[in-house]
Amino acid sequence: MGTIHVTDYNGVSHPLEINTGEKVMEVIRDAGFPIEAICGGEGACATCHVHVASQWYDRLPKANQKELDFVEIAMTYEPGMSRLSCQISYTEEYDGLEITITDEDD
Amino acid sequence: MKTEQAVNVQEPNRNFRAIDSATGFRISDDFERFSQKNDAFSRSTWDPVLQSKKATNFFQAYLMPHAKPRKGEGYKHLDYALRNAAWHMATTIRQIAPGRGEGFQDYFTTHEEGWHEEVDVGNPEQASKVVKNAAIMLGADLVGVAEYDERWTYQERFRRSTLKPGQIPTAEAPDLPEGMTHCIVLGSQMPLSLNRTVPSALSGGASGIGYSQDAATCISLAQFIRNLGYEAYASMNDTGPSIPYAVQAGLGEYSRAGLVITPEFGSRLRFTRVFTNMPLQIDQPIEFGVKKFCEMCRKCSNECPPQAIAKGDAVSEPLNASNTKGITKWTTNAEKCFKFWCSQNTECSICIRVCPYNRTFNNIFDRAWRRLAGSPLRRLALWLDDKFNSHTAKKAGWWWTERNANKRRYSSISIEK
Repeated sequence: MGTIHVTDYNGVSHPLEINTGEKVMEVIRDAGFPIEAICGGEGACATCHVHVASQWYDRLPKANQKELDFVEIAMTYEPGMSRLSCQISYTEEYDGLEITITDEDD
Repeated sequence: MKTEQAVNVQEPNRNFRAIDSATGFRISDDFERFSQKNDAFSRSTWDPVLQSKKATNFFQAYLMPHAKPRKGEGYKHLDYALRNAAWHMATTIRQIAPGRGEGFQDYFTTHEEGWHEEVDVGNPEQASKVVKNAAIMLGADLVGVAEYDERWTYQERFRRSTLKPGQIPTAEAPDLPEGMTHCIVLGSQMPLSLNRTVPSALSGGASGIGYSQDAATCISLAQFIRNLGYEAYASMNDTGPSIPYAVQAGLGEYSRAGLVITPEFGSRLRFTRVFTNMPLQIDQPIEFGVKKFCEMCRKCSNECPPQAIAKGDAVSEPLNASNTKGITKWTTNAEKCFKFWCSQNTECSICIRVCPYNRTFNNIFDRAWRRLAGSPLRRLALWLDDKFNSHTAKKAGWWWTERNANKRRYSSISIEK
Protein backbone atom coordinates (compact mmCIF):
# COMPACT_ATOMS: atom_id res chain seq x y z
CA MET A 1 0.00 0.00 0.00
CA GLY A 2 1.13 3.55 -0.69
CA THR A 3 -0.15 7.06 -1.18
CA ILE A 4 -0.89 9.20 -4.19
CA HIS A 5 -1.62 12.92 -4.04
CA VAL A 6 -4.59 14.17 -6.01
CA THR A 7 -5.03 17.90 -6.57
CA ASP A 8 -8.63 18.99 -7.16
CA TYR A 9 -10.10 21.84 -9.25
CA ASN A 10 -9.45 24.26 -6.41
CA GLY A 11 -5.79 23.40 -6.12
CA VAL A 12 -6.21 21.45 -2.89
CA SER A 13 -4.09 18.29 -2.60
CA HIS A 14 -5.67 15.14 -1.17
CA PRO A 15 -3.64 12.08 -0.11
CA LEU A 16 -5.28 8.81 -1.16
CA GLU A 17 -4.24 5.33 -0.14
CA ILE A 18 -3.73 2.88 -2.97
CA ASN A 19 -2.81 -0.78 -3.22
CA THR A 20 -0.34 -2.36 -5.59
CA GLY A 21 -2.11 -3.37 -8.79
CA GLU A 22 -4.97 -0.93 -8.35
CA LYS A 23 -5.73 1.47 -11.17
CA VAL A 24 -5.29 5.11 -10.27
CA MET A 25 -8.60 5.85 -12.01
CA GLU A 26 -10.53 3.53 -9.69
CA VAL A 27 -9.02 5.01 -6.57
CA ILE A 28 -9.70 8.65 -7.44
CA ARG A 29 -13.18 7.86 -8.78
CA ASP A 30 -14.09 5.86 -5.68
CA ALA A 31 -12.85 8.75 -3.52
CA GLY A 32 -15.56 10.89 -5.09
CA PHE A 33 -13.60 12.95 -7.55
CA PRO A 34 -15.40 13.82 -10.82
CA ILE A 35 -13.98 11.02 -12.96
CA GLU A 36 -16.53 9.55 -15.39
CA ALA A 37 -14.48 6.73 -16.94
CA ILE A 38 -17.33 5.99 -19.31
CA CYS A 39 -15.39 3.32 -21.21
CA GLY A 40 -15.00 1.36 -17.99
CA GLY A 41 -11.23 1.65 -17.79
CA GLU A 42 -10.39 0.33 -21.24
CA GLY A 43 -8.33 3.35 -22.26
CA ALA A 44 -10.87 4.03 -24.98
CA CYS A 45 -12.09 7.49 -24.02
CA ALA A 46 -10.57 10.37 -22.12
CA THR A 47 -13.05 10.81 -19.32
CA CYS A 48 -10.48 9.74 -16.72
CA HIS A 49 -7.87 12.15 -18.02
CA VAL A 50 -5.44 13.62 -15.47
CA HIS A 51 -2.29 15.69 -15.47
CA VAL A 52 0.72 13.94 -13.99
CA ALA A 53 3.34 16.14 -12.32
CA SER A 54 6.28 16.57 -14.68
CA GLN A 55 8.75 14.96 -12.24
CA TRP A 56 6.58 11.82 -12.31
CA TYR A 57 5.57 11.73 -15.97
CA ASP A 58 8.75 10.08 -17.30
CA ARG A 59 8.88 7.63 -14.42
CA LEU A 60 5.58 6.06 -15.42
CA PRO A 61 5.46 3.33 -18.08
CA LYS A 62 4.99 4.87 -21.50
CA ALA A 63 1.46 5.06 -22.86
CA ASN A 64 0.55 2.43 -25.44
CA GLN A 65 -0.76 3.44 -28.86
CA LYS A 66 -4.41 3.15 -27.86
CA GLU A 67 -3.90 5.50 -24.93
CA LEU A 68 -1.97 7.91 -27.13
CA ASP A 69 -4.84 7.90 -29.62
CA PHE A 70 -7.41 8.79 -26.97
CA VAL A 71 -5.56 11.01 -24.52
CA GLU A 72 -5.43 13.80 -27.10
CA ILE A 73 -9.22 14.09 -27.16
CA ALA A 74 -9.22 15.43 -23.60
CA MET A 75 -10.32 19.04 -23.30
CA THR A 76 -7.25 19.89 -21.22
CA TYR A 77 -4.70 17.74 -23.06
CA GLU A 78 -1.18 18.82 -22.25
CA PRO A 79 1.81 17.05 -23.85
CA GLY A 80 4.24 15.80 -21.24
CA MET A 81 1.57 15.79 -18.53
CA SER A 82 -1.58 14.12 -19.84
CA ARG A 83 -2.36 10.50 -19.06
CA LEU A 84 -5.46 8.35 -18.81
CA SER A 85 -5.61 7.38 -15.16
CA CYS A 86 -7.17 4.02 -16.04
CA GLN A 87 -3.92 3.06 -17.71
CA ILE A 88 -1.76 3.66 -14.64
CA SER A 89 -1.55 0.63 -12.37
CA TYR A 90 0.02 1.40 -9.02
CA THR A 91 3.26 -0.18 -7.88
CA GLU A 92 5.41 0.76 -4.89
CA GLU A 93 7.80 2.78 -7.01
CA TYR A 94 4.98 5.26 -7.62
CA ASP A 95 4.49 5.98 -3.92
CA GLY A 96 3.94 9.74 -3.67
CA LEU A 97 2.69 10.10 -7.26
CA GLU A 98 1.21 13.55 -7.84
CA ILE A 99 -1.69 14.02 -10.23
CA THR A 100 -4.13 16.83 -10.91
CA ILE A 101 -7.79 16.48 -11.85
CA THR A 102 -8.51 18.91 -14.67
CA ASP A 103 -11.78 20.72 -15.33
CA GLU A 104 -12.94 19.19 -18.61
CA ASP A 105 -16.03 21.43 -18.68
CA ASP A 106 -14.10 24.60 -19.49
CA MET B 1 -25.56 -9.27 -54.43
CA LYS B 2 -29.07 -10.60 -54.52
CA THR B 3 -32.43 -9.47 -53.35
CA GLU B 4 -34.24 -11.92 -51.15
CA GLN B 5 -37.39 -11.82 -49.13
CA ALA B 6 -36.66 -12.49 -45.49
CA VAL B 7 -38.75 -15.10 -43.80
CA ASN B 8 -41.43 -13.46 -41.75
CA VAL B 9 -41.32 -14.86 -38.25
CA GLN B 10 -43.50 -12.14 -36.83
CA GLU B 11 -47.04 -12.62 -35.65
CA PRO B 12 -49.17 -10.04 -37.41
CA ASN B 13 -50.56 -7.33 -35.14
CA ARG B 14 -52.10 -3.92 -35.58
CA ASN B 15 -48.66 -2.41 -36.18
CA PHE B 16 -47.54 -5.03 -38.70
CA ARG B 17 -47.11 -3.97 -42.31
CA ALA B 18 -46.39 -6.30 -45.24
CA ILE B 19 -43.04 -4.59 -45.84
CA ASP B 20 -41.82 -5.89 -42.45
CA SER B 21 -41.54 -9.36 -43.95
CA ALA B 22 -38.89 -8.06 -46.31
CA THR B 23 -37.05 -5.68 -43.97
CA GLY B 24 -36.95 -8.09 -41.05
CA PHE B 25 -38.31 -5.41 -38.70
CA ARG B 26 -40.15 -7.07 -35.83
CA ILE B 27 -42.71 -4.62 -34.58
CA SER B 28 -44.99 -5.59 -31.75
CA ASP B 29 -48.43 -4.61 -30.62
CA ASP B 30 -47.05 -2.17 -28.06
CA PHE B 31 -45.10 -0.19 -30.69
CA GLU B 32 -45.23 3.58 -30.19
CA ARG B 33 -44.14 6.15 -32.71
CA PHE B 34 -41.05 7.99 -31.51
CA SER B 35 -41.36 11.43 -29.98
CA GLN B 36 -38.66 13.85 -31.06
CA LYS B 37 -38.34 15.31 -27.59
CA ASN B 38 -36.80 11.97 -26.59
CA ASP B 39 -33.85 11.95 -28.94
CA ALA B 40 -30.59 12.50 -27.07
CA PHE B 41 -30.01 15.95 -28.56
CA SER B 42 -33.44 17.17 -27.53
CA ARG B 43 -33.22 15.55 -24.11
CA SER B 44 -29.97 17.38 -23.42
CA THR B 45 -32.03 20.59 -23.34
CA TRP B 46 -34.70 19.44 -20.88
CA ASP B 47 -33.88 16.06 -19.30
CA PRO B 48 -31.57 16.20 -16.25
CA VAL B 49 -30.10 12.84 -17.29
CA LEU B 50 -28.43 14.47 -20.30
CA GLN B 51 -28.35 18.14 -19.34
CA SER B 52 -24.83 19.32 -18.55
CA LYS B 53 -22.39 22.13 -19.12
CA LYS B 54 -20.53 19.78 -21.46
CA ALA B 55 -23.71 19.36 -23.54
CA THR B 56 -24.20 23.11 -23.77
CA ASN B 57 -20.55 23.54 -24.75
CA PHE B 58 -20.94 20.78 -27.34
CA PHE B 59 -23.71 22.58 -29.25
CA GLN B 60 -22.19 26.03 -28.90
CA ALA B 61 -18.86 24.84 -30.26
CA TYR B 62 -20.39 24.60 -33.75
CA LEU B 63 -20.24 28.38 -33.84
CA MET B 64 -16.62 29.44 -34.04
CA PRO B 65 -16.55 31.98 -31.22
CA HIS B 66 -17.52 29.16 -28.84
CA ALA B 67 -15.29 26.44 -30.33
CA LYS B 68 -12.80 24.75 -28.03
CA PRO B 69 -9.54 24.40 -29.95
CA ARG B 70 -6.87 22.72 -27.89
CA LYS B 71 -3.48 21.00 -28.12
CA GLY B 72 -4.57 17.50 -29.12
CA GLU B 73 -4.00 16.62 -32.75
CA GLY B 74 -7.31 16.81 -34.59
CA TYR B 75 -8.72 19.32 -32.09
CA LYS B 76 -6.73 22.40 -33.06
CA HIS B 77 -8.05 25.66 -34.45
CA LEU B 78 -7.59 24.48 -38.03
CA ASP B 79 -9.68 21.39 -37.35
CA TYR B 80 -12.56 23.24 -35.72
CA ALA B 81 -12.41 25.85 -38.49
CA LEU B 82 -13.00 23.21 -41.16
CA ARG B 83 -15.57 21.27 -39.15
CA ASN B 84 -17.63 24.37 -38.47
CA ALA B 85 -17.30 25.56 -42.05
CA ALA B 86 -18.61 22.18 -43.21
CA TRP B 87 -21.66 22.66 -40.97
CA HIS B 88 -22.12 26.31 -41.95
CA MET B 89 -24.64 25.85 -44.76
CA ALA B 90 -26.76 23.41 -42.76
CA THR B 91 -26.69 25.86 -39.84
CA THR B 92 -27.53 28.79 -42.10
CA ILE B 93 -30.50 27.03 -43.66
CA ARG B 94 -31.58 25.86 -40.25
CA GLN B 95 -31.77 29.47 -39.07
CA ILE B 96 -33.27 30.86 -42.25
CA ALA B 97 -36.38 31.99 -40.39
CA PRO B 98 -36.19 33.53 -36.91
CA GLY B 99 -36.84 31.13 -34.06
CA ARG B 100 -36.91 28.08 -36.30
CA GLY B 101 -34.61 25.09 -36.69
CA GLU B 102 -35.40 24.12 -40.27
CA GLY B 103 -34.52 20.59 -41.23
CA PHE B 104 -33.84 19.69 -37.62
CA GLN B 105 -36.87 20.61 -35.50
CA ASP B 106 -39.00 22.45 -38.06
CA TYR B 107 -40.02 21.75 -41.62
CA PHE B 108 -38.37 23.66 -44.45
CA THR B 109 -40.06 26.87 -45.55
CA THR B 110 -37.83 27.21 -48.58
CA HIS B 111 -40.17 25.44 -50.99
CA GLU B 112 -41.59 27.63 -53.72
CA GLU B 113 -44.83 27.20 -55.57
CA GLY B 114 -44.36 24.77 -58.43
CA TRP B 115 -46.38 24.07 -61.56
CA HIS B 116 -50.15 24.59 -61.45
CA GLU B 117 -51.13 21.10 -62.66
CA GLU B 118 -49.69 17.61 -62.52
CA VAL B 119 -47.36 16.90 -65.46
CA ASP B 120 -47.45 13.42 -66.98
CA VAL B 121 -44.01 11.84 -66.63
CA GLY B 122 -45.14 8.34 -67.51
CA ASN B 123 -46.16 5.40 -65.39
CA PRO B 124 -44.87 4.98 -61.82
CA GLU B 125 -41.85 3.02 -63.03
CA GLN B 126 -40.90 5.77 -65.46
CA ALA B 127 -41.64 8.47 -62.90
CA SER B 128 -39.33 6.78 -60.39
CA LYS B 129 -36.52 6.75 -62.93
CA VAL B 130 -37.08 10.45 -63.65
CA VAL B 131 -36.97 11.30 -59.97
CA LYS B 132 -33.91 9.13 -59.31
CA ASN B 133 -32.04 10.63 -62.24
CA ALA B 134 -32.79 14.09 -60.94
CA ALA B 135 -31.82 13.15 -57.39
CA ILE B 136 -28.37 11.94 -58.39
CA MET B 137 -27.81 15.03 -60.54
CA LEU B 138 -28.90 17.27 -57.65
CA GLY B 139 -26.28 15.74 -55.37
CA ALA B 140 -27.49 12.43 -53.94
CA ASP B 141 -25.11 9.47 -53.96
CA LEU B 142 -27.86 6.92 -53.48
CA VAL B 143 -31.63 7.07 -53.93
CA GLY B 144 -34.57 4.74 -53.39
CA VAL B 145 -38.33 4.95 -52.99
CA ALA B 146 -40.52 3.60 -50.22
CA GLU B 147 -44.21 3.83 -49.52
CA TYR B 148 -45.18 6.43 -46.93
CA ASP B 149 -45.29 4.69 -43.57
CA GLU B 150 -46.91 6.59 -40.73
CA ARG B 151 -44.96 4.55 -38.17
CA TRP B 152 -41.86 6.58 -39.00
CA THR B 153 -43.41 9.97 -38.46
CA TYR B 154 -42.81 11.47 -35.04
CA GLN B 155 -45.67 11.12 -32.63
CA GLU B 156 -44.74 14.57 -31.39
CA ARG B 157 -42.32 17.16 -32.71
CA PHE B 158 -39.97 19.12 -30.49
CA ARG B 159 -39.09 22.78 -30.82
CA ARG B 160 -35.98 23.50 -28.80
CA SER B 161 -36.02 27.21 -29.64
CA THR B 162 -39.23 27.82 -27.68
CA LEU B 163 -38.03 26.01 -24.59
CA LYS B 164 -37.53 28.04 -21.43
CA PRO B 165 -35.14 26.98 -18.65
CA GLY B 166 -36.62 24.17 -16.59
CA GLN B 167 -39.55 23.70 -18.94
CA ILE B 168 -40.49 20.28 -20.27
CA PRO B 169 -41.24 20.67 -23.98
CA THR B 170 -44.84 20.72 -25.05
CA ALA B 171 -45.95 18.32 -27.72
CA GLU B 172 -46.60 19.54 -31.23
CA ALA B 173 -48.04 17.51 -34.06
CA PRO B 174 -45.70 16.83 -36.98
CA ASP B 175 -46.02 19.25 -39.89
CA LEU B 176 -46.14 16.68 -42.65
CA PRO B 177 -49.37 17.25 -44.61
CA GLU B 178 -51.91 14.48 -45.15
CA GLY B 179 -51.92 12.65 -48.44
CA MET B 180 -48.24 11.86 -48.88
CA THR B 181 -48.01 8.47 -50.55
CA HIS B 182 -44.27 8.02 -51.08
CA CYS B 183 -40.97 8.72 -49.39
CA ILE B 184 -37.92 9.23 -51.57
CA VAL B 185 -34.84 8.40 -49.54
CA LEU B 186 -31.61 10.13 -50.45
CA GLY B 187 -28.18 9.04 -49.26
CA SER B 188 -25.07 11.18 -49.34
CA GLN B 189 -21.72 9.67 -48.58
CA MET B 190 -19.39 11.16 -46.00
CA PRO B 191 -15.76 11.56 -47.07
CA LEU B 192 -13.72 8.48 -46.21
CA SER B 193 -10.55 10.46 -45.57
CA LEU B 194 -12.19 12.58 -42.88
CA ASN B 195 -13.84 9.54 -41.34
CA ARG B 196 -10.42 7.93 -40.99
CA THR B 197 -9.39 10.69 -38.57
CA VAL B 198 -12.04 9.74 -35.99
CA PRO B 199 -11.76 10.55 -33.11
CA SER B 200 -11.14 14.20 -33.91
CA ALA B 201 -12.99 17.48 -34.28
CA LEU B 202 -11.76 17.44 -37.87
CA SER B 203 -13.75 14.29 -38.59
CA GLY B 204 -16.94 16.12 -37.62
CA GLY B 205 -16.54 17.86 -40.95
CA ALA B 206 -17.71 14.64 -42.60
CA SER B 207 -21.19 14.89 -41.13
CA GLY B 208 -21.20 18.66 -41.57
CA ILE B 209 -20.54 18.25 -45.27
CA GLY B 210 -23.23 15.58 -45.29
CA TYR B 211 -25.87 17.77 -43.63
CA SER B 212 -25.02 20.85 -45.69
CA GLN B 213 -25.18 18.97 -48.96
CA ASP B 214 -28.21 16.98 -47.83
CA ALA B 215 -30.16 20.16 -47.23
CA ALA B 216 -29.41 21.46 -50.72
CA THR B 217 -30.15 18.11 -52.36
CA CYS B 218 -33.46 17.32 -50.67
CA ILE B 219 -34.80 20.87 -50.98
CA SER B 220 -33.85 20.92 -54.67
CA LEU B 221 -35.43 17.52 -55.33
CA ALA B 222 -38.64 18.56 -53.57
CA GLN B 223 -38.71 21.66 -55.73
CA PHE B 224 -38.16 19.56 -58.87
CA ILE B 225 -41.21 17.47 -58.01
CA ARG B 226 -43.23 20.60 -57.21
CA ASN B 227 -42.17 21.98 -60.58
CA LEU B 228 -43.91 18.94 -62.07
CA GLY B 229 -47.14 19.87 -60.30
CA TYR B 230 -47.04 17.41 -57.39
CA GLU B 231 -46.78 18.03 -53.67
CA ALA B 232 -43.33 17.44 -52.20
CA TYR B 233 -41.73 18.22 -48.84
CA ALA B 234 -38.02 17.92 -48.05
CA SER B 235 -37.14 16.51 -44.66
CA MET B 236 -33.97 15.88 -42.68
CA ASN B 237 -34.45 15.26 -38.95
CA ASP B 238 -37.70 17.14 -38.59
CA THR B 239 -40.34 14.51 -39.39
CA GLY B 240 -39.02 11.22 -38.05
CA PRO B 241 -36.24 8.64 -38.22
CA SER B 242 -34.58 7.99 -41.60
CA ILE B 243 -33.15 4.56 -40.94
CA PRO B 244 -36.35 2.50 -41.34
CA TYR B 245 -37.18 4.27 -44.58
CA ALA B 246 -33.66 3.69 -45.94
CA VAL B 247 -34.09 -0.04 -45.32
CA GLN B 248 -37.57 -0.10 -46.80
CA ALA B 249 -36.35 1.79 -49.87
CA GLY B 250 -33.73 -0.88 -50.50
CA LEU B 251 -30.68 1.26 -49.83
CA GLY B 252 -29.14 -1.20 -47.41
CA GLU B 253 -29.55 -3.44 -44.39
CA TYR B 254 -29.96 -2.56 -40.73
CA SER B 255 -26.78 -3.20 -38.75
CA ARG B 256 -25.60 -3.85 -35.20
CA ALA B 257 -24.57 -0.20 -34.77
CA GLY B 258 -28.11 0.93 -35.56
CA LEU B 259 -27.04 2.31 -38.92
CA VAL B 260 -27.83 1.19 -42.45
CA ILE B 261 -25.01 -0.59 -44.26
CA THR B 262 -25.21 -0.02 -47.99
CA PRO B 263 -23.42 -2.03 -50.70
CA GLU B 264 -21.83 1.14 -52.09
CA PHE B 265 -20.59 3.06 -49.03
CA GLY B 266 -21.05 0.83 -46.01
CA SER B 267 -22.62 2.94 -43.26
CA ARG B 268 -20.60 6.03 -44.17
CA LEU B 269 -23.50 8.07 -45.45
CA ARG B 270 -26.36 10.24 -44.30
CA PHE B 271 -30.01 10.04 -45.28
CA THR B 272 -32.64 12.64 -46.01
CA ARG B 273 -36.10 12.27 -47.44
CA VAL B 274 -38.61 13.88 -49.75
CA PHE B 275 -42.27 13.10 -49.11
CA THR B 276 -44.56 13.35 -52.12
CA ASN B 277 -47.92 12.39 -53.55
CA MET B 278 -46.35 11.69 -56.96
CA PRO B 279 -47.18 8.15 -58.11
CA LEU B 280 -43.87 6.26 -57.99
CA GLN B 281 -42.72 2.69 -58.19
CA ILE B 282 -41.37 1.58 -54.84
CA ASP B 283 -38.11 -0.31 -54.36
CA GLN B 284 -37.78 -3.55 -52.46
CA PRO B 285 -35.57 -4.10 -49.41
CA ILE B 286 -32.28 -5.80 -50.22
CA GLU B 287 -30.30 -8.46 -48.42
CA PHE B 288 -26.60 -8.96 -49.10
CA GLY B 289 -25.48 -10.67 -45.92
CA VAL B 290 -25.12 -7.79 -43.47
CA LYS B 291 -27.38 -9.23 -40.77
CA LYS B 292 -25.47 -12.48 -40.58
CA PHE B 293 -22.15 -10.65 -40.76
CA CYS B 294 -23.15 -8.34 -37.90
CA GLU B 295 -24.27 -11.33 -35.84
CA MET B 296 -20.69 -12.57 -36.00
CA CYS B 297 -18.73 -9.31 -36.01
CA ARG B 298 -18.40 -7.14 -32.89
CA LYS B 299 -15.98 -4.53 -34.17
CA CYS B 300 -18.31 -1.56 -33.67
CA SER B 301 -19.42 -2.66 -30.20
CA ASN B 302 -15.89 -3.57 -29.12
CA GLU B 303 -14.40 -0.27 -30.31
CA CYS B 304 -17.20 2.04 -29.15
CA PRO B 305 -15.58 4.15 -26.38
CA PRO B 306 -18.65 4.36 -24.11
CA GLN B 307 -19.76 0.81 -24.96
CA ALA B 308 -23.05 2.10 -26.35
CA ILE B 309 -23.49 -0.59 -29.02
CA ALA B 310 -25.06 -3.95 -28.25
CA LYS B 311 -22.78 -6.96 -28.14
CA GLY B 312 -25.68 -9.37 -27.89
CA ASP B 313 -28.79 -10.16 -29.87
CA ALA B 314 -31.60 -7.88 -30.93
CA VAL B 315 -33.84 -6.93 -28.01
CA SER B 316 -37.36 -5.56 -27.72
CA GLU B 317 -36.93 -3.65 -24.47
CA PRO B 318 -35.85 0.00 -24.82
CA LEU B 319 -32.62 0.81 -22.97
CA ASN B 320 -33.85 4.31 -22.15
CA ALA B 321 -36.24 7.01 -23.35
CA SER B 322 -34.24 7.56 -26.53
CA ASN B 323 -35.18 4.18 -27.98
CA THR B 324 -38.36 3.49 -29.91
CA LYS B 325 -40.74 1.27 -27.97
CA GLY B 326 -42.03 -1.93 -29.54
CA ILE B 327 -39.33 -2.85 -32.06
CA THR B 328 -37.05 -5.84 -31.69
CA LYS B 329 -33.68 -4.75 -33.02
CA TRP B 330 -30.06 -4.11 -32.17
CA THR B 331 -30.48 -1.12 -29.92
CA THR B 332 -27.81 1.45 -29.14
CA ASN B 333 -27.56 3.39 -25.93
CA ALA B 334 -27.96 6.98 -27.07
CA GLU B 335 -27.34 8.31 -23.57
CA LYS B 336 -23.86 6.81 -23.43
CA CYS B 337 -23.15 7.78 -27.03
CA PHE B 338 -24.16 11.42 -26.52
CA LYS B 339 -22.23 11.74 -23.26
CA PHE B 340 -19.08 10.64 -25.06
CA TRP B 341 -19.69 13.19 -27.81
CA CYS B 342 -20.00 15.90 -25.17
CA SER B 343 -16.88 14.72 -23.34
CA GLN B 344 -14.74 15.37 -26.41
CA ASN B 345 -16.75 18.41 -27.55
CA THR B 346 -17.42 16.94 -30.98
CA GLU B 347 -19.09 14.08 -32.77
CA CYS B 348 -17.85 10.52 -32.86
CA SER B 349 -18.22 7.96 -35.62
CA ILE B 350 -15.78 5.29 -34.55
CA CYS B 351 -18.49 2.71 -35.26
CA ILE B 352 -18.45 3.78 -38.90
CA ARG B 353 -14.66 3.93 -39.16
CA VAL B 354 -14.03 0.45 -37.79
CA CYS B 355 -16.85 -1.28 -39.68
CA PRO B 356 -15.44 -3.85 -42.13
CA TYR B 357 -17.92 -2.54 -44.72
CA ASN B 358 -16.33 0.92 -44.50
CA ARG B 359 -14.73 0.72 -47.94
CA THR B 360 -15.02 2.52 -51.24
CA PHE B 361 -16.03 -0.59 -53.25
CA ASN B 362 -14.54 1.13 -56.30
CA ASN B 363 -12.02 -1.67 -56.80
CA ILE B 364 -12.23 -5.39 -57.43
CA PHE B 365 -10.81 -6.31 -54.02
CA ASP B 366 -13.49 -4.47 -52.07
CA ARG B 367 -16.20 -5.90 -54.28
CA ALA B 368 -14.79 -9.42 -53.90
CA TRP B 369 -14.63 -8.87 -50.12
CA ARG B 370 -18.29 -7.80 -50.07
CA ARG B 371 -19.24 -10.96 -51.90
CA LEU B 372 -17.26 -13.06 -49.44
CA ALA B 373 -18.78 -11.24 -46.44
CA GLY B 374 -22.23 -12.10 -47.75
CA SER B 375 -21.42 -15.78 -48.12
CA PRO B 376 -21.01 -18.64 -45.63
CA LEU B 377 -17.30 -17.73 -45.68
CA ARG B 378 -18.02 -14.53 -43.75
CA ARG B 379 -15.56 -15.48 -41.00
CA LEU B 380 -12.82 -15.53 -43.62
CA ALA B 381 -13.97 -12.08 -44.73
CA LEU B 382 -13.69 -10.83 -41.17
CA TRP B 383 -10.21 -12.35 -40.85
CA LEU B 384 -9.15 -10.73 -44.11
CA ASP B 385 -10.47 -7.41 -42.87
CA ASP B 386 -8.40 -7.76 -39.71
CA LYS B 387 -5.33 -8.72 -41.69
CA PHE B 388 -5.38 -6.27 -44.56
CA ASN B 389 -7.78 -3.44 -43.78
CA SER B 390 -7.33 -2.43 -40.19
CA HIS B 391 -9.45 0.75 -40.29
CA THR B 392 -7.03 2.23 -37.77
CA ALA B 393 -7.26 5.93 -37.05
CA LYS B 394 -5.23 8.40 -39.05
CA LYS B 395 -3.97 11.57 -37.45
CA ALA B 396 -5.22 14.98 -38.52
CA GLY B 397 -1.69 15.79 -39.68
CA TRP B 398 -2.00 12.98 -42.21
CA TRP B 399 -5.24 14.47 -43.49
CA TRP B 400 -3.93 18.02 -43.78
CA THR B 401 -0.52 17.30 -45.29
CA GLU B 402 0.70 13.75 -45.78
CA ARG B 403 -2.08 12.33 -47.96
CA ASN B 404 -1.56 15.13 -50.49
CA ALA B 405 2.19 15.44 -50.09
CA ASN B 406 3.02 14.52 -53.68
CA LYS B 407 0.16 16.31 -55.36
CA ARG B 408 1.07 19.20 -57.58
CA ARG B 409 -2.41 20.04 -58.78
CA TYR B 410 -5.41 20.05 -56.51
CA SER B 411 -8.57 18.76 -58.14
CA SER B 412 -11.38 16.46 -57.14
CA ILE B 413 -9.78 13.93 -59.46
CA SER B 414 -6.32 14.02 -57.91
CA ILE B 415 -7.31 14.45 -54.26
CA GLU B 416 -9.21 11.59 -52.72
CA LYS B 417 -12.05 12.73 -50.53
